[in-house]
Amino acid sequence: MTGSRLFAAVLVLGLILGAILLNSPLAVFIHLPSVLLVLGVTLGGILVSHTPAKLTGGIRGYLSRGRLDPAQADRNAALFGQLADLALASGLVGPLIGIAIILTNLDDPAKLGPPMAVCLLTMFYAVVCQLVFHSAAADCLARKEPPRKPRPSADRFAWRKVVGLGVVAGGLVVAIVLHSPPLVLLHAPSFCLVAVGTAAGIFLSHTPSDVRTVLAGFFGSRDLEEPEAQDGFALYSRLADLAVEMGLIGTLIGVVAVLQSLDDPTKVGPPMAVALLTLLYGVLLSELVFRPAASDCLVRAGVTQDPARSRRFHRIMGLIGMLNLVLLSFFVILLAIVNYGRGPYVGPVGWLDGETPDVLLPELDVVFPFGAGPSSLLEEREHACASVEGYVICTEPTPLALAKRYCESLGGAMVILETEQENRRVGGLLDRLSYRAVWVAATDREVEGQWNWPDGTKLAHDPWLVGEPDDMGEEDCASMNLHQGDPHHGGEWNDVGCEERLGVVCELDEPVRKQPAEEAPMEAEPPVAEEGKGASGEEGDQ
Amino acid sequence: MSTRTWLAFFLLFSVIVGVTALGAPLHVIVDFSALLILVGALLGGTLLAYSTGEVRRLLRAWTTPGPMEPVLALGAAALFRRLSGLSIGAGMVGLLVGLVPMIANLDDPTLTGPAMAVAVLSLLYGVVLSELVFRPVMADCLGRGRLSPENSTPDTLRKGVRS
Repeated sequence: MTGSRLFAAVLVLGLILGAILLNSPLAVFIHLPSVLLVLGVTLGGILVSHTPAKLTGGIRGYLSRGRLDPAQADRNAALFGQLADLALASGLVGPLIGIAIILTNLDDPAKLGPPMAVCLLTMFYAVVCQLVFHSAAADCLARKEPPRKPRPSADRFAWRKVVGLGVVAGGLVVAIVLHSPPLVLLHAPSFCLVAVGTAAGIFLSHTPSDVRTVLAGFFGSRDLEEPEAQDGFALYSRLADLAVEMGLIGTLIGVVAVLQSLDDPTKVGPPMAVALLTLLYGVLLSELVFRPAASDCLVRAGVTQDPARSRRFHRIMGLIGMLNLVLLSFFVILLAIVNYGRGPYVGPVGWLDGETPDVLLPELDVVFPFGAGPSSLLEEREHACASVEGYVICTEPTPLALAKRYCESLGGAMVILETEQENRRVGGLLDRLSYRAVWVAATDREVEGQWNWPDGTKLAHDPWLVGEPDDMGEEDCASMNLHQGDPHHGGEWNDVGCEERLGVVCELDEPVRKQPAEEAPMEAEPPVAEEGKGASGEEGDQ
Repeated sequence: MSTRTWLAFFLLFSVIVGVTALGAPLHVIVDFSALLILVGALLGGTLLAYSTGEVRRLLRAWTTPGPMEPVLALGAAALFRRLSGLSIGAGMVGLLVGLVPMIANLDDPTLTGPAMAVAVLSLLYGVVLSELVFRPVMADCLGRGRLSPENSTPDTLRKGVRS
């Protein structure tokens, strides 16, 4: 192992590690079954065609210094090429198994995130392995022949290449400016990962002097000798592959991070965009800079492209394309499921006995279905919420942060049950409405055992169920309406983990009034319905 | 078949089955319509190009341990390359067969789940067979015939079939 290769390996791994740490905790990226799958499948596949002795021989050849015997180099390159293909295949097998598993429990789309992330981890390991194996294969081929001295000759500067690169860059800039605010498409960490990763990765397979010789000849215009051209072609092709591989690694890191926070779909967009940007940079570099440079080398020597090499490339591109198809269709499914919850009213959403709130509370002023509030998951699910005399009660299980935001979007807050009387009143409503637990705004996050309301006041009464709060496994938030088959415990509390999903009770500053029946635009778009409600509410106040 | 080959296949499938079993009951990755597509494509596609006697001869050549005659190795490699292409093709067909009804029924997720499972599983079977079984076996044939991957272009492989 020469110094430059060791340094390159450390740099590439460091970049990948940095990109991981920027996006999510490292622990997310350590998953033993995925490692096992990639390693096991790659090892099993290679043992079908190679004896263990040949395998260790190939690895020893890669780690050694100096030139390799040409026949030996070819054999080793074939070995590593096959290892890379196997790694890529295992990266496709992992997600497919994972998706098949996920499809069997589709109940809660927000819970699909972590298992999906695990599927993507297999792909991540596979692409990293593939990068290493490809580098090793390219290294074996590059070390087949003795180093060539650069031929110093009078060489005219090829201005057409500057023009070509300029036109490509200019066209891109114009297209980007026309399409979107330009800064959206600039993301320094992603670009750093791809560009620096590619630049470092080339030293895994080529010595610095090789790289210098080839790059120095790029802007020249003289004809090349055939071996020289093949060297250049190999180097630029490797650079092109590296750019795509680094792009894919960046995308996978980003997508895994995104899937960790799937419970709040409004936040998924921007990081997802950044994730795809890495792939964009990789493909741009690869297809617009390195591949043209590679074919330029061949053209200058008057050689046609090696058919075996291009076929290999297409096979890999085919696999990657299939992979994208799988992912794409899976995301479509995911979207469909998320939307399914917001579809037309198909049945009671957590209300008692399958009745609706206005039937359950006939003597009270109930607005149902109730849908209002911008930018929240709940806004579409109007049948999950009902407004009851200054409170809005939703049975849809929701993360605490989202519940809080939902109440704020209605112009209120999560209910604060300051007095025992109010606690009993809300509990009584819940008893008659639903069997689902709801969030209580109080927490003991600051001081364990000291329950405070969000406005800082201490909990003044004792609403707890017998034996609670027990803080079993770090429970710092509270719920009420733990039904337990007996509908008379609505006002009693239990402590729960803050990561749970529960219903919510909001207290509004201004109660929502019932609209006249003929005006109720049930099928209309939510914003229109909201305006109608607001207007009628104001009239009622006057 | 040598012990090494058996060991390799055992490792391959035990890893796949084991990792699945960690996440879910095993019947999750069994789907008969996907299997049917795959078996149909493999049998039909092979019989279109080879006689049964030819297939048996080439398979026997592969299962006999030791070095292979170059001509026989080329022929067997061509067969396995064909099988690999067929299984990927069957996977793609299954994927599309599953995806079309899924997209047609996007409004009813109860139907999309099973349709998607067929799609995903047939692709899974296709990829496993093609990339993890047939291609390594092909490389094994070439290696045992003392042929380097360079002279295994489709042209030479086709010549191997004819001879």
